Amino acid sequence: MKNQQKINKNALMALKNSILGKVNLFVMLLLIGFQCSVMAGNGYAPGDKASDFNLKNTDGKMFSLSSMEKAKGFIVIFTCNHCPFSQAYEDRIISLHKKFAAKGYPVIAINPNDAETEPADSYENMVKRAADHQYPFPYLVDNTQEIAKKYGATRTPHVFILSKKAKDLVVEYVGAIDDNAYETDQVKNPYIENVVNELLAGKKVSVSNTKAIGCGIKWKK
Amino acid sequence: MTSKYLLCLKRVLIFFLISFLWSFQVHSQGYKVIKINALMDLMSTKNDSALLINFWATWCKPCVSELPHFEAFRKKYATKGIQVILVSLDDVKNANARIARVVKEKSILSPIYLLNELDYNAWINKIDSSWSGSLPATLFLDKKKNKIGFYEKELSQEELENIVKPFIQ
Repeated sequence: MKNQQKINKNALMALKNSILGKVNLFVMLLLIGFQCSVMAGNGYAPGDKASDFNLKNTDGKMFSLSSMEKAKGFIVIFTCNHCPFSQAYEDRIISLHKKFAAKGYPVIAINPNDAETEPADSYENMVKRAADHQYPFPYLVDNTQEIAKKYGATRTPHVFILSKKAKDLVVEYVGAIDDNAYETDQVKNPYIENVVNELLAGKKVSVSNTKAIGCGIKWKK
Repeated sequence: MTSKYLLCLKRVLIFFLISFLWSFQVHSQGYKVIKINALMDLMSTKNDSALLINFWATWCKPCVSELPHFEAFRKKYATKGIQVILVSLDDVKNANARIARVVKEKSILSPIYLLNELDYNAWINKIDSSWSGSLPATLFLDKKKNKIGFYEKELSQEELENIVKPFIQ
């Protein structure tokens, strides 16, 4: 009889523990979900003020936006070596810089990927790629991934166009380079070109936010 | 009597021929090219199964490495009211060999669709407004096709289990 009670008690405890376990798991999942939504909500939106940064360039020197005093703004592009979308857009990124740097909007490329997860995106490989493809713009490494997180970059390529207003850097555009990654000659909306042309003409930016498929940034584990 | 018998035989033969051709088409290609409207239809057709949609591409390493999780999942829950489909965002022009290689390497039998819509900005929000566009990404709908969750990240087998657990029949 006593044993039977003990067994019942044990069974009850087990049941209680398993329910508690499930509740705990549920609460944990909720918290994870909440945290993810908070993380997704971070980052810059058009109209926000952006931070400058101090990151290592492929020439071995440190680079900050503030060093380019004459620039009217910047086309900041989070990109990398390995991602097929970054590669598909590489020539277009070089053309954008050639077209707009002299007009005051240079391209600043930043590689945010963790080189341990993706060895092709190591600093050494960045130096090699920049040399092989004769990058005419800075190609910076965001080792700590702090800038990618602060800006809210999630994929490569991911573009943030900034303009200088008084002493501030204002986010004018967040999104894609254009509307066709695979076929350059089929592009109908060259988003970046449109934005920079509007800014140069003193007009309001008409499309300030777009989305595109890209390689998820390889975050440190 | 004979004519009826022949008619029936003819129908049966046609049925088998169509099934054979259909299976041949699916096996030889391994995937079906669709547009966003067809995907939206899949996402809104109420039936007996909850629907797990994984967005991936052959060029996306974390996507390819999580495919076996989805495949194992499909096997495990096919008769328990969970349907799995894989939506590739590969370039349609050179997808044949690339998808075939992954399907072979990872022994994938889950249905694969290739979403041939290059103007990403025009449809990403239709899948989920929180999606920034990075891959892998996974959408889970219940059998009434209400959205249960959208995950813009790699999912482990355990995470997948936890997501669908309440919907297993």
